[in-house]
Amino acid sequence: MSRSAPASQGSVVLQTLAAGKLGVWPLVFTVLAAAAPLTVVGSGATTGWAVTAVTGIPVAYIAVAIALGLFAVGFVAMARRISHAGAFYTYVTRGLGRPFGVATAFMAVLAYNAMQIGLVGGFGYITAGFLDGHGITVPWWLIAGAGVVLVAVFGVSRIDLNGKVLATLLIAETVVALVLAIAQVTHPAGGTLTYTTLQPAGLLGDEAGTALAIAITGFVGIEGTAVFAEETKDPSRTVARATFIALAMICGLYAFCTWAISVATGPDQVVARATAEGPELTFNLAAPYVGAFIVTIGRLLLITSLFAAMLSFHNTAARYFYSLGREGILARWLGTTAPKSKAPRGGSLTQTGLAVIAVGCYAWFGWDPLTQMFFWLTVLGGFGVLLLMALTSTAVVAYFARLRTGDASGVTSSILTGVLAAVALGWISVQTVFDFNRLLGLAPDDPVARILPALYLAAAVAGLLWAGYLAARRPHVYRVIGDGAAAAIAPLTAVPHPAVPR
Amino acid sequence: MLVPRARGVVRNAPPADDLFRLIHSERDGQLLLHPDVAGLVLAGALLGELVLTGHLTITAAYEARVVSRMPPNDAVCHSVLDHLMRETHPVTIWLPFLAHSVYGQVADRMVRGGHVVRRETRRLLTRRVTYRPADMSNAAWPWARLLNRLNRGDELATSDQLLGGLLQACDWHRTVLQSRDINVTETLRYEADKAPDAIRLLVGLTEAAVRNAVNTAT
Repeated sequence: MSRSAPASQGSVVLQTLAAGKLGVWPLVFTVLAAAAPLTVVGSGATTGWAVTAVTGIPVAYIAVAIALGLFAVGFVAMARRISHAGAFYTYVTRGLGRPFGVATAFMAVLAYNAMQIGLVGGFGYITAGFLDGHGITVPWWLIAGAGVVLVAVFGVSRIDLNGKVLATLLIAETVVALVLAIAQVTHPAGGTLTYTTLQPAGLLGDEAGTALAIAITGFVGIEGTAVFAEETKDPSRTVARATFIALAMICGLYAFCTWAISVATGPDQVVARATAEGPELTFNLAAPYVGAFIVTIGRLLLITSLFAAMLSFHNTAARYFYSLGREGILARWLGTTAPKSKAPRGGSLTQTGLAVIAVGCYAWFGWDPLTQMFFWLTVLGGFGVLLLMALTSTAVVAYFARLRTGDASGVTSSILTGVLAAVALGWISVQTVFDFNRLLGLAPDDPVARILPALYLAAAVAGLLWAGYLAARRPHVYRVIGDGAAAAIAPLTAVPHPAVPR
Repeated sequence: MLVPRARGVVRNAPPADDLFRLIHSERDGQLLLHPDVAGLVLAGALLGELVLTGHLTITAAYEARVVSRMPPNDAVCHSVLDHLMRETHPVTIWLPFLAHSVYGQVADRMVRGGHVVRRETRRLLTRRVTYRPADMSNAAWPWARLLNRLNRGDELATSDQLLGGLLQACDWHRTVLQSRDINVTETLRYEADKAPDAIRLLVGLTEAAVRNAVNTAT
């Protein structure tokens, strides 16, 4: 009987399994769909200018990309070493222990749902605006509701936009964004190119936290690369490459395109124009030079990009609910599947329910779909993912610090970059908390600016308390928190996982 | 066209056959589960058959270890055992690998045994294959037996512990047992937990594999 080497050459089994797996580019396109480049450039940044009046958003994209690059080194290195590397809370559980794992899971549920619901608002508002321009008047909430229903159908029947569709849409989005940006850069306000919005000095003032928080919102989604580690051809290389390629691509695109807008309006006018024109700004600026066709295509792609992002975050949130239900951390009903489509039905329906309630509330109370729904909630989601990344970096450091005695390759660099990332992301988080009123465009004493970030504190405290309850009353559930799929074998492994501190 | 043989009553079918019956519609023989999930649970069932016949054991490190190289009576089990003897992998690798091919193999076994009739219908662009049961009462027997035993609180045989565990693994037990009664579900869970270690590990690992399949990007 011949025994196979661990490498896939020579092993029929491993070769067969590798055949259906993801390569670098499909992975890049999958995670970039969530990042939705045209949404960020076309509406995220412009709304950011309008709401916060902070001009240094383009340079913030570069700074955030550097911080995320540091974060990704340790994150990807850890993904390679732990099995069932899924969501953030797996990492935090392995690094910092189960109570923090549950706290992280609760925060993640809040963050991804906020992100998805925010995008629903943007989808409704921007699509309504597009239709209005063609003489069809439909209330935003009706379109948002239709979007939610469509996402729900896709979610439960597990229709994912496949790699080719996503790739086509993304490439088209990128090309349009670049065409618009080049038109803007070649026609600067006052005839001279200005680099004010790219000056690092913009990050030193008291507006830094705001700009960085807006920037980080644009990057949410790229942490998805590690989630798919087990589905890649070569987890050790594919994930790392895909992460850095995605990071570099969107950093360059965001910084260039938003800078181009500020060049075309003039840095001193960008806030005023963004306030007046909203998501139309980037199209209006380029329209005289590129022709109506490109602008119409761009507006349509903005809508499809919002939809792809909605679907992507819906799936992320649904899978969080599903994993928590399956592990027994939350109600088991959340862990039910749709047999025919193998979709996480319980999680998907729950997410849809939340989105419907949110759209209903915004429509009923007449809250603004663009600033109060799209911008506030996506920024809230972005802030949550920022906190999760900071926590995960800390977990990476703790994990590798304990590991130092064993297999040493890459440990030191992971610890070093992990510390730097934790410090950088932690600093951005603190700045953001202090600046939250500016971030939301509110007066300094507005209670909303205190309540929204405090939701994460509440989620974390609830998670810690819940972990305590599980430890005391349902130890078989507690023991396998963060073990991902391995939780199914929970009752059989009486000894706790060696890599998990108590 | 294959004509089903008259088979009489089938009672001691192997777990993979019972599972095959349970995941197909009795009425028109259509597969009711997603093909990926069906493949995974059938792979679990075949490995379970090898465990029950004493050919295989599952170690605490999740490795599938062949303990007897005696050729199994059944051709499908034989081909699975051939794979297992050629390479050594944990069950977490074997399940997705076997899942690629076992659905067709078990289906062929059912056709050869005269339990089902394969029917292929073509529509505009799609091709649909169904496996219509040759005998309704044989097709209904697995769930009738399980439900009856669970309702009466009887102990389950090891092969039924495997079958029940696999139904839970693919979240199909509620449908099969046609019951919103939480007690039946809980009894099934309790009974499945009494299975020997190798079976429980196998069921747990199958559930883990199904969970991974639900959480995939592709």
